Amino acid sequence: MSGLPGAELLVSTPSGRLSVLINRRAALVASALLLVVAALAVLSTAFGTRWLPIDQVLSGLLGTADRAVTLTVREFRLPRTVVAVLVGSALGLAGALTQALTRNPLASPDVLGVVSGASAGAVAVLITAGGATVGYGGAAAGLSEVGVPIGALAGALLSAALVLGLASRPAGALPATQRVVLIGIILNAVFLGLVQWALTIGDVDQAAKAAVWLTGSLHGRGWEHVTAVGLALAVLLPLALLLRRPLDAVALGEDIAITLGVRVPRLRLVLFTLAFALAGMAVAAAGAIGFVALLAPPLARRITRSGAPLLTAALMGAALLLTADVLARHLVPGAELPAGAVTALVGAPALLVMLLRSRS
Amino acid sequence: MNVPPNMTSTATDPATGTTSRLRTDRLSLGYRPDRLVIAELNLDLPTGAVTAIIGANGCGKTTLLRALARLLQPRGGAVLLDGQQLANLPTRQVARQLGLLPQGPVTPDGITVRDLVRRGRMPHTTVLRQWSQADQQAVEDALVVTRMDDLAGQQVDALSGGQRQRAWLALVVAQDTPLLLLDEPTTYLDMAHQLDVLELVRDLHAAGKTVVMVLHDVNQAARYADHLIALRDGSVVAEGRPDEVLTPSLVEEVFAVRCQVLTDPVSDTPLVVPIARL
Repeated sequence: MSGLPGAELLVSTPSGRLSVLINRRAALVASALLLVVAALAVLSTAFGTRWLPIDQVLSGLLGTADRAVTLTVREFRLPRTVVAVLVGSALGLAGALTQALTRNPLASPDVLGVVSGASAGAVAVLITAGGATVGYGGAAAGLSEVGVPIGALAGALLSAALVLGLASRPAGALPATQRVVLIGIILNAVFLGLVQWALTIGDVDQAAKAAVWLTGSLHGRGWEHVTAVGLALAVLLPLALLLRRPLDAVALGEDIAITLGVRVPRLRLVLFTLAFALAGMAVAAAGAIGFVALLAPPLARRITRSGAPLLTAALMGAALLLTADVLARHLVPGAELPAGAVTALVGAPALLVMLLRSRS
Repeated sequence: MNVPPNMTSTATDPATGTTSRLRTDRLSLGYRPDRLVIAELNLDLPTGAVTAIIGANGCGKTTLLRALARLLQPRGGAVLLDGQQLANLPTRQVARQLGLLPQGPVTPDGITVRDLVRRGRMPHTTVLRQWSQADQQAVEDALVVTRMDDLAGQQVDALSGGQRQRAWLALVVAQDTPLLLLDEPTTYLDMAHQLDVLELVRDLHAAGKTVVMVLHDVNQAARYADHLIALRDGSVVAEGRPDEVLTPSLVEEVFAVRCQVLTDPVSDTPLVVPIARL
């Protein structure tokens, strides 16, 4: 460690093999945001069909409450909260990576066809498999309970492969980053068309369930939804953080990145795959929740005042989705909205405000 | 400096006795299959000198610089660094030898000057060893050399055009490469900031760097370069010391402008005074 001018801290192992530069402000912001996420998580767990006092939530978490409360907290409410944290983080990180790679503040996996690809996959399973489904299906959990996330993931991966595959070919004088954006937008339209088509020809009941899934909801999420997205995040977040420096170089433009020694096509492929995999996992767990991936990165940039804060964007995504889910359960008394409806209703105007204010 | 591994393939300039670490060997460049911008170009860029590439719009100067920076793959021939084909060298190894300031670089939103300059250290870091005291020192030195130390904490968006160009130059300086390629570093800057940039080039030269820059302004090239390369339609029309090369007939041939060449009363270098288009 050493004192550096400005607000940085050089942290290294004694051998010097591992050393990183930590921005004090970014570290402070991330820690504060982590506390906010923790507080929101407790709040989210306290909300439910019945308000549970915070002290009961905490003792339920610790296992010191009576059995009924512990069961409610640990088995019914906590999974939903954890899914919200993980899905929000995955979306925030996926958005931050996508925006840095494309150098476009309006790019995110939900704009570039990955989320609609996942939607098409999930809807295909819902419409064809029939029977009980995620969330509102309830009792008859069966093939489609497992099938929908797998369908979503398959759709996301197919879409990501198509976007990256098609964008890897030269198209006129378009730079590679713009090719990804344009091809993503085109594929997005194709997949949304497929979803509409499936909803039109499908059974009305199934179509209604698919519509809920398409909005994105955290209702009825259990521990089984935690594993996949949790594992994805545990592996991919550290990987993204390690690739932080080349990503920073790519954010300066392809030419500069190459002259700075970055193997740009390879790095871009790795990081896009990473971002799209995160988004696909998130969508598989919670449905097509929009705007979190789009909004979290600019908010994170604003509070850290730095280029492309990855960790902060992930935490911001978690905070946004937790807030949306709490609001979703209490905005309309007696009725629960899908969290995705809240992120869209609040997120879209928020994006508009940010866009208009950034003009100055 | 490393001794070039293959002495037979590094050229020695008989006039100056210097060797060229960076050369082109029958280099052909182009963007479209049916048309070459540059065909079979042989060029030595003298080590330790400031070389200016001049020529009319569309003559291939920027194309050539992009190839020297390995941003454009040759259609034929090669760019040689210490006798080895640039295209075959590892990207990081090249990045420790060659730095580039492209034309009109775009800064990401909301980053500070220091954050920008720091990114120049990329080729010296690894995935695990992401930063070191040496990196820090290089960044602070680059900020001082470019006189950006007072502005290091400022957002790059908030700077004037001239300051922003100096910030980008600081990034290239922090990269700490013996060879620097600058693509029209003075374009769009006012007179004072143009001088800032060119004086900085002179300082870098004094510090032992090899600089190759594309310049629009012939008189700036004459004043600040040791070596001039005049291009027309992708071929070298003339090269050498500015006072030897820069004649009315050359300017006519390269720029299609009739002119008189006087002697700059301040720097004693050639001064081109245009008269009319041909």
